[in-house]
Amino acid sequence: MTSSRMRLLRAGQTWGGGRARLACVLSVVVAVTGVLSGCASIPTSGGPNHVSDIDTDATGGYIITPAGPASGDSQEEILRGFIDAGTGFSNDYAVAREYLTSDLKSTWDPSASVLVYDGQPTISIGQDGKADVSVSVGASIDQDGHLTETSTNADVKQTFTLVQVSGEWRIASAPDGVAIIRPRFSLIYTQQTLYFYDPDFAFRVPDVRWIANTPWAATRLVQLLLKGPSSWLAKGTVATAVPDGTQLAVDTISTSSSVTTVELSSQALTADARGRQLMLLQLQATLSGLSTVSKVQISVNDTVVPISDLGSDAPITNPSPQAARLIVDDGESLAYLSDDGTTEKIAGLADAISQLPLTSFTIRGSTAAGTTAQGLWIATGDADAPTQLTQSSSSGVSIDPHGYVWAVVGQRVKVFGPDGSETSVAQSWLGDDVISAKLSRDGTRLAILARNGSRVSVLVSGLVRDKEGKPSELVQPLTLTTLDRGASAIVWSSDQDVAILASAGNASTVTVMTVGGESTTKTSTAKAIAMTAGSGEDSIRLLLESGEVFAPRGSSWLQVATGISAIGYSW
Amino acid sequence: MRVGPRRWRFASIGNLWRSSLQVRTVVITVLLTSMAIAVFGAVAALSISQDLFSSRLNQVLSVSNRAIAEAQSSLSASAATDTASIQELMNKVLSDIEGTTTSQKVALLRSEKASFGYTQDITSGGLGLDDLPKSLRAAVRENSTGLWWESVDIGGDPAIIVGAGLTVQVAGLHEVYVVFDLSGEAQTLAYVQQILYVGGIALALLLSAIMLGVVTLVIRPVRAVASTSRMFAGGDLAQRIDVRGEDELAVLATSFNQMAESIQSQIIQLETLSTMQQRFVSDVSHELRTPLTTIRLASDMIFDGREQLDPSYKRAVELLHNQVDRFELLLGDLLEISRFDAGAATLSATKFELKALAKRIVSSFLPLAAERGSELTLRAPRPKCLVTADERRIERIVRNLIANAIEHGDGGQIEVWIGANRSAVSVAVRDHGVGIAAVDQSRVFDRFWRADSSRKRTIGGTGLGLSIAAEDTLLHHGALEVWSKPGEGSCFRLTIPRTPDGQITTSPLGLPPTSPSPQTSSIILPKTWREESGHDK
Repeated sequence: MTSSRMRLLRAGQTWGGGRARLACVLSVVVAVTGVLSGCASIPTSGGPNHVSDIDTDATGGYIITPAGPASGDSQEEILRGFIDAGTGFSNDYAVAREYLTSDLKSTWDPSASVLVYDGQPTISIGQDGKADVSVSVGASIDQDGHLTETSTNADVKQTFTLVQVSGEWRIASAPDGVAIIRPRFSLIYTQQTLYFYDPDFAFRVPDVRWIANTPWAATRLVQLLLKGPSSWLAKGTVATAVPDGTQLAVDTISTSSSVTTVELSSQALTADARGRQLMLLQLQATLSGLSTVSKVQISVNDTVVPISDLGSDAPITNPSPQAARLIVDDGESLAYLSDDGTTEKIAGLADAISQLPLTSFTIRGSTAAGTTAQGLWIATGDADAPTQLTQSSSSGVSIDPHGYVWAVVGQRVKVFGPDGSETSVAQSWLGDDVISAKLSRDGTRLAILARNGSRVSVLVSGLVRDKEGKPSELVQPLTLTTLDRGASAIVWSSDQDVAILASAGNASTVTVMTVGGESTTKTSTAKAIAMTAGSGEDSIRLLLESGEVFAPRGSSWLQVATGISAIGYSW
Repeated sequence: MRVGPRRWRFASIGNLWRSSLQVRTVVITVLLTSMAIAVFGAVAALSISQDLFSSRLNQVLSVSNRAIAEAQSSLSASAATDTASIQELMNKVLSDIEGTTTSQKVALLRSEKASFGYTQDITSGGLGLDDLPKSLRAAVRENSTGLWWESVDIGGDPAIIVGAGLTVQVAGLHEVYVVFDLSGEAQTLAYVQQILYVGGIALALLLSAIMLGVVTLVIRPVRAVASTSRMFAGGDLAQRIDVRGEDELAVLATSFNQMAESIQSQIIQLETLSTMQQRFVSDVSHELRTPLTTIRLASDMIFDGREQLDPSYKRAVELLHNQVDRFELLLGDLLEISRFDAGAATLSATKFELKALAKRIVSSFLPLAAERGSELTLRAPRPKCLVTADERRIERIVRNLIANAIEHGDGGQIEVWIGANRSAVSVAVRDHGVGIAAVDQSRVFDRFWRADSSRKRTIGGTGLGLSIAAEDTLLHHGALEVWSKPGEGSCFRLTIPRTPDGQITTSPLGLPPTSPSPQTSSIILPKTWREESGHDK
């Protein structure tokens, strides 16, 4: 009996232990379930979490951070610091402004000009806080990015006034604009090209500007483009597809996923379909000089304007002689000269002028023109014999896209219509001292070498035409530079570069200048009497008195043909 | 008062739990499946919520990254230097961020490093500056590169705020915050959780119902087997189970039936055999009785005249006489045993006083004990120990126990204890002899068993004494228990209910009894027959 009770008791205990265990398991499960379902909600708290850096599209460009003024700086140190701070264009030249008094800070305009100087500025501190700073300026850039080279460095003197503010020297008066030493200028500033069109929208016309390579370079370029062409190209020389009054909606251009969106004001929508296509092309061409821009779209009121591609209808960029074939007059006939020295006689139109003692010639479409010491001849269509247009000594003939023949006749620029009649073009600023002139291939600009006292000016003038395309006026030119006497010929080597041949003694030099940009000079071996250029510097050919033709090979010149009396490029 | 019924209910539930496999299975199934479903549901809800959140977060971060990168790109490319155009720029950046992120709530704030006078804090969509967590602003101010985000509660809805620094030309460092609403995700999650809850409960209920059905199906034949085997165990050997089908339960029923068949036949066989043996013993005893009477008469005659015999015969006659006595005793015992075996033994219960009986028996054994050098004492409580039992059988039991104690007591002290309580009376006989080995203790009540086969029976026991005592005790529904330790002696304790149909709750004496105890309040010293006061005060 006792044992049975015992057994019963033990069973109870066993069961009691099981119940305890079960309760334990149950409570654990309930707790786990509770915790899990507690977590099963969208969180509404928890500290801040950091994720990797934002992958911003590269904006490119340089940011130079100059040092601000230190306490106790002398007047000279303040001036040098201020001049050095001309490179710190971040935050609208915030560092340079630190050198200024608070009054000048708000009125000083750093964008007025950029002086590119060589060497160290000379500083002389005078009485009453006046200080003269003299720098040797090699080039200057105006507000709109036009670069003017000074052929021989000129010292520019600028006057500053310094006052003490709370015991520290600050600049109280300073000329607008900044000065940058050349090595830093070369790093920061780049040559960019704005593109406009000729009035017929057949060609793109470049307008070279210099801008700082900053993250907002694209914005600046578009702002310049919207502002319009340079003054020497204005007045109808070139056209823009951007409707009047169009501005950037916001002073920035955003690039995301390698698409650059140009947000324009609503005036942009006044352009018709072709106008919008041309406007987009203009923007694309202008921004293509920046490595950060690959695709451009126009947006108005936050909406991307759908613009289809122009395709083959697009205006031609950098028009160049057809197939870049050099034509030579070997005394008997005109022939194509290949790079390997073989010649190929040209039949037809070329034969009409080939019998003349040509000094220069050109063939464009169905028109061939040539100059001799006795005059200017023209042959059109399938004419057997050329027509003589003038009996004065002529040189530097060119034919424009409308068929007008341009040549320097007796030290004046003369224009003859396709019918052979002389067309008067207003050129009041240009006298009887033209050495050489050449019309650009797009027919918008005339490059001129003109005597200017003891020196020779290199000029580029915009050409105004009437509605029919008849040339009417050469506008006030852009002076690229002035050269020593000896410059004898000027040709276009591309749509924005001219090449100038100058001789001194028995040697000649070829200088290639970018219109609105810098120049490079090549020396030749012997004195050249004529020069022609196709597309690019490598296509420049020199003709020597000996009848040899030279072509550039690297930095030297190489003879490519002999027994030649005239050279030119075919169109 | 309230505890009673409640405890009863618990007891009844516990009872049900213990007794019903069905209840246990169903309850355990419901509990375990509920737990499994709950855990599964919780895990599912958790992973769904995490997935909802993380996918939204990824989307939010990716779109914020794009928006802020675009904004920064716009700002970096800005050529604006005057207040008006910078304000226009900021407006455009704000609307661009709103457009890209499709968030209505954007804040464009000045940081501590912003230049004075160009910009102001702008927020859109009713976003208050207080809605932006201070921790997030502090983090953005500390590290303005990259994105920061934080989970917040805006107007009771969960939201993510993404923050970053924006560098504005001329105007300096600004902070941008974009709020992304997550209430849609929260609603989806709530809906999913609701489905999980309802589905989980429905599943648990369904499983329970299925389990109940299945268990009922299985338990029914098991119950049939259980009830049949209970009846079988209760002696109804003809009980069999109906066999249906060919499944495992049918096999069980068939096996049970075969086992029952086999047990029934063996029991009948054994019963027959046993009855035959009993009858044989009974018959033999009866048959031996008549010749033994004759032998006894003749032996008595010869014994009475033994003085006239030759001394050598005289010795033989004495031996004969003794052995005839012994034979007679043995025969008597055998007859008694056979009566028990035949179930012919009946209880003729009378009411008597146990102490008086014990005194009588003890005093009768005093000479024998003295002869063996044992001191025989009786220890009994003072109150009368009235009991309704078969006095003759009780006396026989006690005599047997005392005789055994004297024989095996090795001259040591022998105590006879009397004890009584409300339900039972008890007599215990304790000796201090050699004791009985543990292995032998279970065999002391076997017929003709002797602890040491080499020992001679000196008091003339037949070897059936303890067996008969055990049978007598059984007849009284009592208990005869033995305690022994080798070297310390043995103790036999007889416990019988006060009335033949009574129940024993506990025995009034310990095994072995210890003295003094509150119950054993008086000690009887046999030599003087004086009752002595013990522990009562």
